[in-house]
Amino acid sequence: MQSPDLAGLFVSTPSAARRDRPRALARAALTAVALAFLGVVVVLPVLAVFAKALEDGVFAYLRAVVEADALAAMRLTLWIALLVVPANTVFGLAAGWAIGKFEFRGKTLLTSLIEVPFAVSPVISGLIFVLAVGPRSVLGGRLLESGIRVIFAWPGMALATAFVTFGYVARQVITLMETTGRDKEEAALVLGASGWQTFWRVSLPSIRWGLLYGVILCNARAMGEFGGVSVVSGHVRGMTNTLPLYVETLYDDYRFSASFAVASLLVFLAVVTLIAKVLVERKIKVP
Amino acid sequence: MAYSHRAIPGFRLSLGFTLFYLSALVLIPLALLVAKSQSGGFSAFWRAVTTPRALASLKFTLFVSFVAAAINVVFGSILAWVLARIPFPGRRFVDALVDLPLALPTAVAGIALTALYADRGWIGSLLAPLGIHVAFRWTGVVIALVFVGLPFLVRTVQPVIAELDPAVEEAAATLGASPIQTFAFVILPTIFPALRAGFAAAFARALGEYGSVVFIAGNMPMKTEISALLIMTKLDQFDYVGAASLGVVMLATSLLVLLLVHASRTASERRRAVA
Amino acid sequence: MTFEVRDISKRFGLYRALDSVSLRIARGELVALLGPSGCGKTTLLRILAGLEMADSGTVHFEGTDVTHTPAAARGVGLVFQHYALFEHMTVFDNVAFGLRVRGTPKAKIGPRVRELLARVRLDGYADRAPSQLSGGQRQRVALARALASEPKVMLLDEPFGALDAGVRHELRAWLRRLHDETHVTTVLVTHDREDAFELADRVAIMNEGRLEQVGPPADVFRRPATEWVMRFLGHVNEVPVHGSESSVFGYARPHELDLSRSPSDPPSFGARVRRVQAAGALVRVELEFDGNRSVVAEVDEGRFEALALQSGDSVFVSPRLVRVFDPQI
Repeated sequence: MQSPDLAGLFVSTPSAARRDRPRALARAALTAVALAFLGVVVVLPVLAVFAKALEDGVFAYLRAVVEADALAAMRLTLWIALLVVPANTVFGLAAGWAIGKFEFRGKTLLTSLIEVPFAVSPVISGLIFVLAVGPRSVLGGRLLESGIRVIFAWPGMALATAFVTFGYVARQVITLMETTGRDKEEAALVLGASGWQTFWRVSLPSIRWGLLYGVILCNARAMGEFGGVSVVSGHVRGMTNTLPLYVETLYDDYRFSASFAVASLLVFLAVVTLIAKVLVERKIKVP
Repeated sequence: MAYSHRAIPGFRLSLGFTLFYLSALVLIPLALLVAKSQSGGFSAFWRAVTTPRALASLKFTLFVSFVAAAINVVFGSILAWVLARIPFPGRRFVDALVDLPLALPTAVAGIALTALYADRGWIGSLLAPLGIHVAFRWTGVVIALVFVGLPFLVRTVQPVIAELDPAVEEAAATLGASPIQTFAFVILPTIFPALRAGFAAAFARALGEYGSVVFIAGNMPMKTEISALLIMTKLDQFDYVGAASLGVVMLATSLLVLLLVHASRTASERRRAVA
Repeated sequence: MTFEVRDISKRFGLYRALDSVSLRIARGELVALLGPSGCGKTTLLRILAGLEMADSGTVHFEGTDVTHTPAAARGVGLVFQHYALFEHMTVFDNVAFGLRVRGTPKAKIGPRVRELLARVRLDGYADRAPSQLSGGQRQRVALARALASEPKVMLLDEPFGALDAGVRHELRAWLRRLHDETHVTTVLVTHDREDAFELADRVAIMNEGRLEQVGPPADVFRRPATEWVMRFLGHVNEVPVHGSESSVFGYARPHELDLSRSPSDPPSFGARVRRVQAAGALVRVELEFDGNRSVVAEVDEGRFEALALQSGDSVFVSPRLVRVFDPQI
């Protein structure tokens, strides 16, 4: 008895052409289920944001977006990102250099430790800084006396955000530095380059797309951070609200359409991030 | 090995800075967390962690995280399969969409999902007449966690599926296996480690999730209160020891999950290497 | 003026890569470090370059002790096995790199780079990216890049290792010509006998971290210092030595075995033809004797036709040259 060519269910081979109908149906069914799942879980919520944002009309939307508090929230979000992303990038480059170009004991441990913040809940990310530099801590108390407020102010929010986005750049850079190996750096050295020259002219350019990828992810996560900054912020309108926190504030005030309007800005940010991500990914795949 | 000489410069500088930054931003704060949780002695820690409310929140959090991760394993795998194997128009666009939950701030997801599944929302209004209420129930929490966990599962499993060798499946077919047998005996064992890792990643992610859940959860203590919110509440009450204790438990759970996956992965790699 | 390593030893953990190696290289010489993988030749090259530091011993360049001089200051040119070209730079920028990082005035860089590209016959390729080049072309860019700063010593790590056989032949001849033109002292690492013999003025044969023999290729081939060297350099026949106890064996190369139909003077031993391979400049004859012992002889076409050998024939083998080595301690 000839066993039916069932590979066609999974793979399109010429011999499966004869038995295509039931296979094609199965594949179509799977595709439909997958798309329905994605549509309901991911696409609908995004559409809902825009629908709700425009519920009270376009003018209400625009007004919500240019309100003073909204602009202040945008500024704070940008400011924190501007602090956090470069800091974590510098860290990522340093970690990548150390781990990627040298052998030393404890390398695996170090790489694992860098992964830890990924596993920590955002709320805990805020909590630890309240404990570390909050008003009731030793360090925080002393800073308060000198007039420097960390918790319930932007420095604390920056710390929490830095923690949450800690390894985004490092992850990419470490992998890249490891895979590109040492040859090119050694070649540069023998040609007379100093350490910095080697780093700037040879190593950095060779990882630039992966680095950019990490920076894009780090930035998106930093701007969208909510749980951690929520713990650490004082929820003071116009002063310690980032865009995500402001969305919550508006929502709690029952200003739903305004809340969604501001949220839609963050959706735009997410879309831009995704586009940038796809473009950079393509560059990485073509070495 | 003797490292008296490294031709490539910058080792001490880069490692030094790395260790400094890591300690200052991650290790010391986390150590302080653990220290704070024990600052009233182990008994205070234990008491804080075993109050009925704390236990209820932990149970609830574990439950919803598990269910959400399980849903992601089933439907996420189908999605991963379709993306990896079945060409269709717009596949690349759909593929990019999978990462949306990673790029979207959790608060935005939270309010959007609440709007969708509230009894008057697009989906909620369809389900309400059936007696299914999602918003402010545990089912809503599960949906929010499915949203945030989706990319973790799909991106872990997708590359493994893409690397499956069609020749192996064709061989199974020529040996007489039905599609289901081929799937069960050939494909599933191969992708199972990735499924397990993806489940763990989605599960660990869900455990600590806050922003997308807190709007849709209802947050009723003892019923629909996630541990992350309980920690927030304790902070508001200045119960630092309680907050830190719960935090330590949550942290330990996430790390444990990831450790188990890592250990089982290296164990299976070792087994395969020996065989 | 010489380049010298004295008593260089190097360990990696428990593994001894180099054991008290000393070698002197004259200015303008091309020396090949030849040996099987793991013999330490690449390690020695990297120590010369300054990328590894020896555990003990010294390195002298033209009288100056450079043992502790960093790679960037040694004035060597290094060509890596896989070239290590800077993929994000053009060919021009690659070759100009060494000049730029040392602060050479811009006006001088252009002409020098173009001169080098012409010398390696890649003029016109200045604006290409390395990914657009073939393996042989990439190798020439790597050479030009290393030559740009006029190094005192050129170090080449398996320069033909990544290339096809056909390209290898061409490039070998070309590299020898380049060396003859530039007279740059060169040290070449290879595991390929032909590379070494065709290119080198002297060959330094290494095994397990030690130098086995150093000398011109002809010397090393005809007068191997040890049995190991002889075996490494080519096929070795174990032949009985007559005039002593018959159980003493010596070594001879295939072309050093004369064949004839009758016993001859000098003493010969009887053997039977097992197989004949006549497709080549020399005819390979596989012979058996004394039960299960075998040798391979190479005779030229004329001799072969005169003998009219066939499988199964009985012949007499007389080795023209038999080497006996002192037993290794």
